[in-house]
Amino acid sequence: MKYSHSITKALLLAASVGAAGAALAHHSFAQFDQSVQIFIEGRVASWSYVNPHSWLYIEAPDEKGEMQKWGFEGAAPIHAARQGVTGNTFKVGEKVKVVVSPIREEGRKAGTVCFVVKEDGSIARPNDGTCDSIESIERWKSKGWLDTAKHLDRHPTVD
Amino acid sequence: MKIYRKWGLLALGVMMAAALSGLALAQDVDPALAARLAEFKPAPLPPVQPPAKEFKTAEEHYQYLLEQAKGGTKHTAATLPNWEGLWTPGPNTIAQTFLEGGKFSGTGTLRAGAGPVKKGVLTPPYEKQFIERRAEVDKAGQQVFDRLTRCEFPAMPRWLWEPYGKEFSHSPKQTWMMNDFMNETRRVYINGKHVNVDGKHSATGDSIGFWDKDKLIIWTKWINPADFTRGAPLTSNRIEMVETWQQVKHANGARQLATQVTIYDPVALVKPVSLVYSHDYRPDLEELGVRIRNWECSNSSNSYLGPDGKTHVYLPGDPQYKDALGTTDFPELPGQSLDPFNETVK
Repeated sequence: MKYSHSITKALLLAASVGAAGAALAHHSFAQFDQSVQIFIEGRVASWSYVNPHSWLYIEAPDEKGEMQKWGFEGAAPIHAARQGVTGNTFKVGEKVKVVVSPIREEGRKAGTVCFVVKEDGSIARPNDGTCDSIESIERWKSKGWLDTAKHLDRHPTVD
Repeated sequence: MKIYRKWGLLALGVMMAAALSGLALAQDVDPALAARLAEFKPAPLPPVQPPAKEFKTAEEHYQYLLEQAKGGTKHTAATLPNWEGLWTPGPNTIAQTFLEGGKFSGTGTLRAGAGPVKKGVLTPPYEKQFIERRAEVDKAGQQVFDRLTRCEFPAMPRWLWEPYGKEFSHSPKQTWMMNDFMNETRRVYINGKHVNVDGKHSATGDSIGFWDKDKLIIWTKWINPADFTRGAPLTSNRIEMVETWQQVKHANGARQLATQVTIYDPVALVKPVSLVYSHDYRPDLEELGVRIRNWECSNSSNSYLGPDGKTHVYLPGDPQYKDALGTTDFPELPGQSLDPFNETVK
């Protein structure tokens, strides 16, 4: 996949205009390690587009190659909607590549979602306000990680 | 307004260019609407308007405004202001009221590094608690646990900010202010008197009000102790509030509700403080199909307070996990799935 940096920068600019009033979660997100992002490939198990938070559950292998159900917390529906994400964005069984900040508890298969690359290459942003998904997309593209990332690759959120 | 058109064209151009380049954002919506959603910018926040003179109590303040309005405007259903539509909260002055150099962050919560605590605004015990809270925020990046995690109501004054959908409905005798968040509806009894047959306080308290032409003045009391927002000061069970709501129609056609608020809380505040809040009408969200739905916190939130005082989450496989897409208490019966579109229940 090739991406244009200038386009992404313009996208960042455009999205930042609407940033005021962006998501405030119903609870603290301090339980997620926002210094790190993990790339996870799997298939959608369910897409729970409900208040107070949306959750994207996927089936994906763990470090041992065993299939697990992973849960990724996202924005409340009204905030996800502002980013073009609705209850119909993800279908059960579809392939997705998810970039998340992991939960701090060792061994738990969870995180807070930043952005999702769908099978057609389009990107969905169901993230809550704790992740700047536009900035993260730009970072992952500029570093070439989106082209090269393998399942469970980890990258810092800042250099 | 020129700047709105400029951003709109830029955003639309970006969406189209992105689609052509393969960098498409996944959208279930028309690209032009998606561009408007991305383009949206809240209307500018009006300046804080403190009371014309100092009042010791909310009651004195309210009675003064009522006298100034000569008993208030007696609207009929035909003459009441129209605040129809879906609204979302815009900027407010919580940060600058309680933090040195504090600015509205756009995300509501008073984040790490937002500024040192302003001294002398809060009473000593509340100032001490706020300093400790800010230290926690600065260390952990966020307040590590928010009472809303327990599915508590935002309560007043937090209701004014929680950035979810709101709707407003007026009748000559009542105004209803409906918040998406926790289905928390305020009722304002127009030209009413405070009554408390319950013998207790509540999240939204008891609100009475009157109209002064197109301005709605509200006095609220008997409110549960709460807070201004996450990372912000606490309020006490003695808090009372006087609000003045007015719809502002901007040159670019945007509709805004501006709310001037004076907080009287002799237990938490050294003296009353005045803030301004705002809401923006969101025809873009209406066009997308966003509607206020029933808030499902008690059967869908898996976040909880752990023994370490921090926020944790139950996951599938945990006995306490609640599946919002699961079933009712009668899974053996057909038609009891809460996810009939997908039937993801195994």
